[in-house]
This record gives sequence, structure tokens and C-alpha cells, in this order.
Amino acid sequence: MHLLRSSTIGWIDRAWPAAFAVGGGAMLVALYVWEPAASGMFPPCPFHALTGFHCPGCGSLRAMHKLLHGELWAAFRLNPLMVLSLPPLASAVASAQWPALRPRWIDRITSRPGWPTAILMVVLLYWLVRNLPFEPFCWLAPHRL
Amino acid sequence: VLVAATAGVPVLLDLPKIAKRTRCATRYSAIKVCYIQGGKDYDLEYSRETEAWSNVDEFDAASANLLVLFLAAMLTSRSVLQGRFLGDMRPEMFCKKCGAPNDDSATMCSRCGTALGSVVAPSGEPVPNYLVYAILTTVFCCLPFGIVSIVYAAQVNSKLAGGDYQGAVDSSSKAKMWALVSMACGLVAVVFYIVIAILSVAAGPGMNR
Repeated sequence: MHLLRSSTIGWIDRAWPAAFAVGGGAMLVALYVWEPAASGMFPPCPFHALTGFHCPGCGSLRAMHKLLHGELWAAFRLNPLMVLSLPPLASAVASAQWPALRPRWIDRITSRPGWPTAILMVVLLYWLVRNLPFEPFCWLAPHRL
Repeated sequence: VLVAATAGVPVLLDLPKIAKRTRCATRYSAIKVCYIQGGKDYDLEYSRETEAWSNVDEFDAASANLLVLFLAAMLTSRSVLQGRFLGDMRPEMFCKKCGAPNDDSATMCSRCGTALGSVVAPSGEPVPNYLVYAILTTVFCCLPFGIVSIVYAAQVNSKLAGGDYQGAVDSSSKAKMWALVSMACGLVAVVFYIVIAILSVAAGPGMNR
């Protein structure tokens, strides 16, 4: 039983990035083909539907559609934090797969114990601030160009 | 191992390999097994240093198989490999570098001379915090679960810094779980919507006017 369980966990850990890549790839294709705002192919944000407020992820799907069509600025207006977080996230995934390629200075940041807390604070602050109804904060809410 | 054991072949475990596979490398220095069968006392010992069993000769196949099953169950549980089965040895008392057990008061490893005490993770294995997945699901899945995952990811690092290895492992698995829950919810919702949209298109304009 223990043998079985430990090997199953190892398998899930290894399959997790692959499943993420396959699922993410399918999502990207769907996002390229269908416009999230108009096609009705993608669900609305449940948080926004329930409360009327924007969550940190609101606008991400529309922004990804814009990005895939090369409209960087339109994507940025829809969800700036998502667009800004894409390069670091991509490099994090890459360096998890190929640790040898990871530059040393990244380790110096990520080895600090407070570093995930800092990200949590940024996300929570972003959540609050993009719901404030006056400039400049309302610029962070999803905008259509 | 199980197949060989039930076939009646005496098998002894490849302990270094098991330790490697369960990612609990170097916590033990020796494993002693006392086994009584038919009024006879067997005293086996596996040494990490020589990577070999001693006193195996007088052991008969049947009891060897029982032992193998017992060890297989025992060794693959992490707490055993992390050294807790050795009674009151604390993880800090094992050398981080070579795994040798040391006295409570020792400041340097008695075998290899490495400084003791500055143990970050007792198992020597970094604890993943799944922060990337937490952020991805927060930013894309539009659900509060991703935030929960980031909270647990933050706990992993702060607990590791405070020396609470077991707590960090717990938080790590929770961070993973909530990222998975968030991702699953998002995927299910998207697939559901796409299926509904395709169905309503296929049903024709009469349904969709």
C-alpha cells in the first residue's frame, strides 16, 4: 500500500506539468479562435457575476485573446497584472523544467521566505485597487479599446 | 519485490534505491531488525556505510519474505526514512552532508566534520510551494481558490524559514490541492460553456433566436 501510494504521488508530480501544458495549449487554441467577450464560449467570472466587483483575474481571457492576436496594448488595458506576470511565470515554468538554465539571481529572490507573501500582498492590493471607482485606480479595471 | 516474495525467493531490499525513489535520502545510518521465529532469534542489520546486510545467512526463505513485506511497508513511509523511528534522535542530530547520527551536544559531524545545527530542511529536500501554479490559477481561473493556494504557498516558505519542516510539507500539499481545485473548476466551466455553445449552434436558429 505504501509502495503504491508513494509511486502514485511521484507520478502525479511528474504528470502535472505535462497535463498543464496540454490543457493550456488547448485553452490557447480555443482562446485564439473565439473572442471571449462576444462568442459566449467562455464562462463569465463567477465573482464578477455575483458581486459586480472585479477579481484579480477579470479580463484575463479577453486579454489572452488580444495577446494571441498580437494586440499587446489592448491586452494590457484589460488586465495589466496578468500581462506583466506572463514573462516571469513563463521563465519560472522553464526554470522548473530545466534547473540548469536558471540564473543565480533568481534563486536569491525566491529563496527569501517572505517572497510568496509579497506576491500575495500584490494580488490582494491589485484586487482592492482595481475596484476603486476613481482615477488612476479605475484604469486597472478591464477596459475595452 | 512482492512477486519475488510470494514466489518463495529470498529477497532483500535495495535500500539505497528505495531511499532515492522516496526522496528521503540520507537519514539513517543502520537499520536493525530483530525477528523471532520457531524459538530462534534472528538479528539482522543493514548498514548504510557498507550498504550490506549482516547475519543474513541463517535466515530461511519464508521469514526473509515476511521481513521483506514488513520492510517494504515500513521503509516507504517517509517518517521512517526521515529517522524518526530511531527513537529520540532529532533530525538536527543527523549530519546534513553524510547522514551520520551525532550526539546531542555535537557542533560538528563526527564523521565528516561538517558544521551541524544550521539545518534548513531536515530531509535535505526542498519543499515545493507551487507558487507558479497558484498565480496562474489566480490570474486565469477567476476564482478565489487561487488566492487560497497563494496563502498556502506563502506558508510553505515561512514555515521552512522557521524550521517547521512537517508544517511546510503540509502547506505545500494544500497549496497544490487548491491550485488543482481552482484549475479544475475553471476547466470544467470552460468545457461546459463550449459544449453548450456548440450544442446551441447545432440546434439551429430556431432554438437560438
